[in-house]
Amino acid sequence: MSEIKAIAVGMNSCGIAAGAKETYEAIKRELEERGLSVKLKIVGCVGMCYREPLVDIITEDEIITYGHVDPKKVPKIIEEHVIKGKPIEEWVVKRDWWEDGERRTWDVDGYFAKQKKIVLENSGYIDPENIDEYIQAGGYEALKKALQMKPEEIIDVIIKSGLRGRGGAGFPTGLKWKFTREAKGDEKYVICNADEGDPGAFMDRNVLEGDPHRVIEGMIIGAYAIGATKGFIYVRAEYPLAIKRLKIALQQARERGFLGENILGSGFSFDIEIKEGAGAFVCGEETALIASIEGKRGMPRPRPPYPAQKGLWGKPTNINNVETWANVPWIIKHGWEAYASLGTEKSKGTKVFALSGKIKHGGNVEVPMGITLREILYEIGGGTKTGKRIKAVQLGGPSGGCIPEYLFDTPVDYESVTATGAIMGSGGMVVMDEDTCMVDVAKFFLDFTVKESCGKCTFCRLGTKRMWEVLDKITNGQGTMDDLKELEELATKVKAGSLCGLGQTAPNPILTTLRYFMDEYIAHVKDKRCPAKVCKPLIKYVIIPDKCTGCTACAISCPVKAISGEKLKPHVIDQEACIKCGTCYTVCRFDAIEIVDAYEGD
Amino acid sequence: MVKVIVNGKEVDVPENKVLLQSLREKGEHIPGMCYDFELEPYGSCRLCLVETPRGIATSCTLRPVEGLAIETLNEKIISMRRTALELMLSDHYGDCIGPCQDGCPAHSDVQGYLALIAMGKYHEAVKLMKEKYILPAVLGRVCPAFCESKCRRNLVEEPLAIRQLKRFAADYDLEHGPWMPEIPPSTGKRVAVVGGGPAGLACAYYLRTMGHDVTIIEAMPELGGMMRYGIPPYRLPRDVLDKDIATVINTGIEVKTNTMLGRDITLEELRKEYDAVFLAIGAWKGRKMGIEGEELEGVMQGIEFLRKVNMGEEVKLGERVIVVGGGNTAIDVARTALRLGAKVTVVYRRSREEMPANPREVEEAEEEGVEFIFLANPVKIHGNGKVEKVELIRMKLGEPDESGRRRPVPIEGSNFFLEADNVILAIGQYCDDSFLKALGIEAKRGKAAVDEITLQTSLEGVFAGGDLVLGPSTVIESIATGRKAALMIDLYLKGKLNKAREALLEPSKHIEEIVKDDDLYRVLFDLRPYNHWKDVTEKDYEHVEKKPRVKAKLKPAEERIKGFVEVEETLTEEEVLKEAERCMSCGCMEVFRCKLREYATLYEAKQDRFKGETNRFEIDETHPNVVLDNNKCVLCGRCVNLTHEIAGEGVVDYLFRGFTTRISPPLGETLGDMDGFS
Repeated sequence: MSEIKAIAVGMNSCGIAAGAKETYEAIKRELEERGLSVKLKIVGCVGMCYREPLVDIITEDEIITYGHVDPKKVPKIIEEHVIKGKPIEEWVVKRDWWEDGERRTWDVDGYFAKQKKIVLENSGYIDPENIDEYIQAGGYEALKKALQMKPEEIIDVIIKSGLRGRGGAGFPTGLKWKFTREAKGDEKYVICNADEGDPGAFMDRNVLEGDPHRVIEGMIIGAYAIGATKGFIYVRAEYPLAIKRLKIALQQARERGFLGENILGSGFSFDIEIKEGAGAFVCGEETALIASIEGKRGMPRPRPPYPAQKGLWGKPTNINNVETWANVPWIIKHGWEAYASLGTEKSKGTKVFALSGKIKHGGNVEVPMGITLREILYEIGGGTKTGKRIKAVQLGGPSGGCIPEYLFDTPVDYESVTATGAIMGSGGMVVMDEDTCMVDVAKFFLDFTVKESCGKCTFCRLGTKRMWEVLDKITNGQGTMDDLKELEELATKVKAGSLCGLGQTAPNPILTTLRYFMDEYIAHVKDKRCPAKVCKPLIKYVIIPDKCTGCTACAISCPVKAISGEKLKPHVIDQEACIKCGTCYTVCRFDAIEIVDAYEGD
Repeated sequence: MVKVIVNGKEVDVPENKVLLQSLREKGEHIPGMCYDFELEPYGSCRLCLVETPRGIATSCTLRPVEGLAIETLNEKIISMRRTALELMLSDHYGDCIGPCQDGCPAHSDVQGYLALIAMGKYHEAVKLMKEKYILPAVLGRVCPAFCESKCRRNLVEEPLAIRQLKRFAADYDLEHGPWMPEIPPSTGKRVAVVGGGPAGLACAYYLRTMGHDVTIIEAMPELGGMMRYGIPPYRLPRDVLDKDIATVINTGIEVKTNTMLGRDITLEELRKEYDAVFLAIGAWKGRKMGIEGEELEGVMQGIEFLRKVNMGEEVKLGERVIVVGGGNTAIDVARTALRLGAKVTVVYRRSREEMPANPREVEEAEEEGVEFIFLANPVKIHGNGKVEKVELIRMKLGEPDESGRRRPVPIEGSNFFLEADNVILAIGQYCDDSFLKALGIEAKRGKAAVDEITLQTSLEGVFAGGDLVLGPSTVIESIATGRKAALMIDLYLKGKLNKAREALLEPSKHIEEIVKDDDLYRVLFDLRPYNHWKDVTEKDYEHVEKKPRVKAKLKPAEERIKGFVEVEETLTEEEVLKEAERCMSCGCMEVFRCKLREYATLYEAKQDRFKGETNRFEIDETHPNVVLDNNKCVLCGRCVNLTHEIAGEGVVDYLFRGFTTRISPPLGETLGDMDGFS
């Protein structure tokens, strides 16, 4: 067994939330106490968020990763593995080794088996606050190569690679660059859209926190190809760690001459500024984002003119999303052929997804385009946490749609996903099981768009509100079949009539649930029943006398004192007083509380 | 220039202009609220949507390319625009017109003429009244004032005394040389108006103001119809009636009195001689009860009784008179009989609340000594050749009937008797179906059958209105149908009646024809404009200062019953000016140039299509010239963009997001704080 080079703790936001800081401190203390001089460092997230905190023991030819490492596990790992050199096999969740210069990965869940890492190749393997680690991993080689090429050649490579916008719309990146390069303007800009705002999406955050230089390098290459002199990273202020690491990375890149005047002696000058967004979802829309950078209220404007013609301060501007930029260095380094060999005919390369919701293995995954949803959800994601059947998956956040289980063999590419009524989106994948009410899901996403509509155009500002109100009526058991017709008609019109992408896609959650889960809508409307037992006005909690032991746990925890009964005798719930909070259901240890239809037998 | 195909037709448009601008310049109808040719296209209102082969697009941003085919008014586009309008209306908290104007059968601009009265501009007030009705001095006395019952002051204390204010202004106008309309040169078209009552006079007047030549054919010796031969002079002095009618006739209307249709002239002759005919011969036949004893001497029809008294014929009444009925005619009969010296009892089969008569007049009758027996109905009139007593049965109220009033049901065995010398029936009037049928006009239940929209009868070019169509109604309702008939006859004379009918029925299917034809446009906005309503309760008016309504000035009852002198006196000017000030001006000041209302009318957008939460914003009235009312704002953004352009940021901008978005000066400030904003 070879010498331990370093111990690394996954310290992206996800890891920190799972307790990685405490783990890191515990390791540090343990090493100090034992007088060990092993290097301790941070890395980004390797994607296995569901097993965090993750700790890597790094040797020359192998990385062994432990999962769920809380401070209590630390002494044993140091004792057995670091000192005695004997890995604790039952805690190992992942191993990496190298064959023919390529990194190979095994993991206990089979999580990585079908993944293909391009954007995330360094995530979880390098210290994001140390430029040397990026450079050692081959970073900035693509930039050096690009600076030897003509701008047009670079654009040509990107066009041939087939890379399409990873923000969700899927516009060919190379073409966008070409338009901006060819647009007339004394000054041009590139912007990185890091205003990741979909509920359940954390791909961009992960890249920015785990491998910020990759994005910066992509932007420098793009700026050189386009002829831009200035770049902006528009990142939401709710991502403080990403901002911190970006700032460090930009500073380090400037110190090494990758940014600033006369980059690497090429004569090309370019720098990047960070703009923090104030948290308006609509600022992810490119024209609103530009307005926001200009210091105006973040509201979209009609296109054309497209930013490539008239963007930031009226100058030609190229906007790409974090993931798009992060693909660029790999394509330049490995050539367009390597990239285009991945994926499907029209969708090349890989796509990063954030798995969340009821999924067993929640985290970031990067898969080749064309993989099926079923492979992602079952083989990588491991199905649901509860073992229940996956009912649907929501792709694309509030702009996306719900795809039902019977369409899980749909290959993941822009065209196939769009055909289902959902959108590829930026990569949020929210998994739902039988306990999810699809009408409630639609209402949840609508609630989001109602609040996040910028208020400018009629269809979005008022249409989303009125659609939400119909959904509210339905989930309250007051809907009619006419409401369903109205809802579909209005949704179709809001989609067709809204000014920007936000409004044009806001009806998608409604339209797809109406399309695939009409039976659930009808149950709410006709039978006044919520099949998933989620919609509060349509359910009630009852105690099964035969199962109730009279332990009083429910009565004690009920916040409105709606449960009564003698000790050791079956209790009852006063339905008038019950607020349906579900606390009793959670605390009962005897499965004596049941959720039933409020209007049973009506 | 490039060629584009607009609704299937090739059109040359300049390359450098957006299609909205080019097409509007060519006279095409493209709605829109946010577009301003001096500003960058903004795209907020979504009304200028057109369909292109690539989908729906805003024409304010669409630049023409050679061969581009667009549809500007197909079903899909109309439906999209209607939805956009309905969404705007779903969060538009305001009234288009005051409820008074809506309540008035003639939809006269009450708020407008009250404002003129408040300024002492009485002739101008009358002029404004006469846009929608004639005979204001008459109406100032006899109108039941539907406007007052709708007045929002009802939610504060009491309604405005609109009728009395009208009376003052109209009297002033008559006394000081009445305002007269300008009559355009003759169109050469001739219209015969049969019947010189309120409907006939109104139709004649409005046809005159459109330049048509009109002849009124009147069966009676004098004009006025029911106003002269029905309404007693203590309510409507004849000199007032004469003067008011004179302002109508003096517009140049030919009058033939003592000329009766069917006796002195036939409809055939009229149709031959004139280009159109308007029938407003009223409903002069009294309904019978169909009970035993109705043929006895001393039983009379109310309408016949009033006609005789009003014509000065001698009518012999006994000591005790029973009047049957609960309408205005019953009250007029009772009070007239009282003035002739009888002891009068009114018998009505429902209770006081259900009485169709004006409550004001019921009260006045009671003060004068008329007795009322409610919930009773005659079943038999007893007597030997002559009325001696009336047998009645007590009634109770059952389920509501189709009129919404509770149906009276006899209580078995509750019969009782009243001694009487006369029984006067005032239970309804009608026009003889057989008379109408003989003219060749379809009739039903004593009314002429007309097309609801055009008022045309089954005979082409023959229109009808007033009581003949409505059944017994009020002066203002008759005037309203007379005016409507005039509009329709004008369209008929121009050969546009059928088109207008279709346009009025379904405006959104005829938008192009309407916007390109002034006559259609005018009649649509006259008769079927969109009206937005606030849903309000007393609570909304808690902050309004209470100001008591002016007291009606009635002569003492004992003096009133001495004869037929007018019972009510005119208010003083001081009282009038003070009362007019009470108007809360509920209607919108921008109603005449409001694009939202215009489009909502054309596209048949409905206020309540999308029900849900509405925003309630405080109105910013701090600025001397500008009022910022976010309740009515459609967030087109033009004020924001214009002020940004002219004065830079920081004047007005959007505030908040989503459904609660509004226009506001910088947070914490008001428009009044904005120097130089106007």
